[in-house]
Amino acid sequence: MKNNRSSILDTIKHTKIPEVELPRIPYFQGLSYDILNYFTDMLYQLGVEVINGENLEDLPPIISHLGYDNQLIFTQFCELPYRKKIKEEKLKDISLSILKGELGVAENGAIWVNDYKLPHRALTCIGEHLIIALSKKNIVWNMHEAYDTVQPENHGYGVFISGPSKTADIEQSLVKGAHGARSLKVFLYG
Amino acid sequence: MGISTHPDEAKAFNKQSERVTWHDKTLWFVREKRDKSVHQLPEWETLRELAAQIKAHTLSHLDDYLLQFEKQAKKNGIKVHWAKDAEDHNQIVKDILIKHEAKKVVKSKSMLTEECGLNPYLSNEGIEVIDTDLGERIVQLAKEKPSHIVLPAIHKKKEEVGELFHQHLQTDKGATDPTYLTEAARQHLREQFLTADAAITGVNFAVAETGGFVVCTNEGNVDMGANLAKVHIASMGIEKIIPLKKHLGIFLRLLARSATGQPITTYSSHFHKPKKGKELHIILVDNGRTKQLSKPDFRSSLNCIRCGACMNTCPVYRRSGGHSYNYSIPGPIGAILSPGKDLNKYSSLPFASTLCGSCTDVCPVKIDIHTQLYKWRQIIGDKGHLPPSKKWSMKITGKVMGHPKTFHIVSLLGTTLLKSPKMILNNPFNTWGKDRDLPQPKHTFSHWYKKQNKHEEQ
Repeated sequence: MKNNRSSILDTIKHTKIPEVELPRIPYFQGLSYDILNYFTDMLYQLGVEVINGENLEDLPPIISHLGYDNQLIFTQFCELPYRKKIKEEKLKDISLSILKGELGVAENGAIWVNDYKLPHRALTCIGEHLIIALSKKNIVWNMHEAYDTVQPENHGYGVFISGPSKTADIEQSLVKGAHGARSLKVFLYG
Repeated sequence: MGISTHPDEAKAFNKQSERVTWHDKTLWFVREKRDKSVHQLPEWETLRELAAQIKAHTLSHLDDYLLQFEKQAKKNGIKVHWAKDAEDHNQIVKDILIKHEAKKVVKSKSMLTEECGLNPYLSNEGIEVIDTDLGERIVQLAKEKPSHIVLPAIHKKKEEVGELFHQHLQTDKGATDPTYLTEAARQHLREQFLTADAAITGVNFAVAETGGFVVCTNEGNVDMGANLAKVHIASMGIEKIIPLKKHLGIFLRLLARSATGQPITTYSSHFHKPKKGKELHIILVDNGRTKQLSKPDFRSSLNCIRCGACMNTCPVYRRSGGHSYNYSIPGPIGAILSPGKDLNKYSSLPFASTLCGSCTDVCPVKIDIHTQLYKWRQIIGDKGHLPPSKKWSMKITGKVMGHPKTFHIVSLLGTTLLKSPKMILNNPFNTWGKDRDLPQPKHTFSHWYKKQNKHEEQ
């Protein structure tokens, strides 16, 4: 509908609107001295369990302990001994997804995950439960710092995840596990 | 003459006074959560100011940014469409779906598709549309429309949801537990996601610099829908554009805190390219937005990021319910957007406000909502769209106020009347007497004023 395009653009062009300058975005300080503690507290408030570890190798015994041994597990980490590829028809049977957290944001507990080494984009949400592993070095204060670091334009799809899927659409009662993962655990390492 | 819809529809909602109190309290609870959340950020006011400036700047270069967005999006492999109005939009969606032989579509919350009447349009074409946001699914099953833009089923009691789910999703009769009902919806909707042919989503922010867009949900329905289906169609109003990626930092900090008091939504999903073998379409919709852009007094209403904060705080919205507005966007923001679309049809909406200014105070993008409500009232009055009761009462009040002697007589009469038994005063003609006790002053204002002056002179 080419004429729609030119008619919309022409109408805007002919509407004389006084020029408004784009503001400069100042630097916003963090809300505490201890970024790691603030981030962890925020995750607890969001109903997220935090597991601490030294490195990724600590993760398999934890997952085993959680009782996932005979279940379908997907991971984005080539270092971990779980499935890296999954057929489309198997997606719905995934019990646990282990995603790579690229960056954590302390002010709101959001963690950036993208489609690098993600054979199917629905893997961010379709697993019944979710673990995101994030290096403690990759935590920033706020969304401004986050966007200085992440490159969403380099990925077809990327998402900030800040907890288990949830809803409060029935009389404002908060219920975890709407469409996506029922629970989120964050594994902090390094 | 205007159609006096809001007072009539509100009357229907007000029939159940217990429900009105419940609705009022529920929304005020959300407003309080918003307050707690924003007070934690020392830079809140700076963020609001920056957001307002970014939006104003964008509107002053809207054509350039739309062109930049189109160019980048195309480079990313996104198919870009332009729609002048609702009809164009629906036609474009239909054509894409027919091309893919899509019979079942999952839709994530999008107020724009509500505005365009997409659901009934597609269902007439034999295409099944399933709303996937839980609140939207509830109202869809109830054959209603959303009554709030963030909390679509806020007007529904859990007993009513239980009955709907019993009928449609075979849950136990009489079940009201939100956890049980949500689980039933999860199972039902997961099945829909896995079998849908296409997904339709809204857009919260589109970035001109990168040619991508962001959608925010708590449930993850956008990610389930858009990522599983082979075609993803995103519908956006042209005002959703922002210039730079870094501006997302400002708007994502403001949006969820204003909406529900959360620091951010659970999922903030960024789409830039279609997955190999799949299609990603975006429809840029005008549908009256350029018209609003041309009105300097009402231009900033296009800043709106659809957080719903103005609804949660509005004393009239909380007590009249979203359906009483009879427009896809209810509440104060809807009341300044709708007259721009159809002044006659929506002439009662700018009066659905106390002009207390609370909406303006909470607006994260600093829209002067109450000033715009007042300006619409003046236009509506000038064009003769006032309902007769308002027109005549205003005329009479004007005459009385303009003549001191008449005012004196009327106020004496009023004071006497107010002292009479309540039964006489609370008659059907006195709408002020409904649910209110009128004060019983001992004397008139001018009497008090004279006495006061005497005291001061002494």
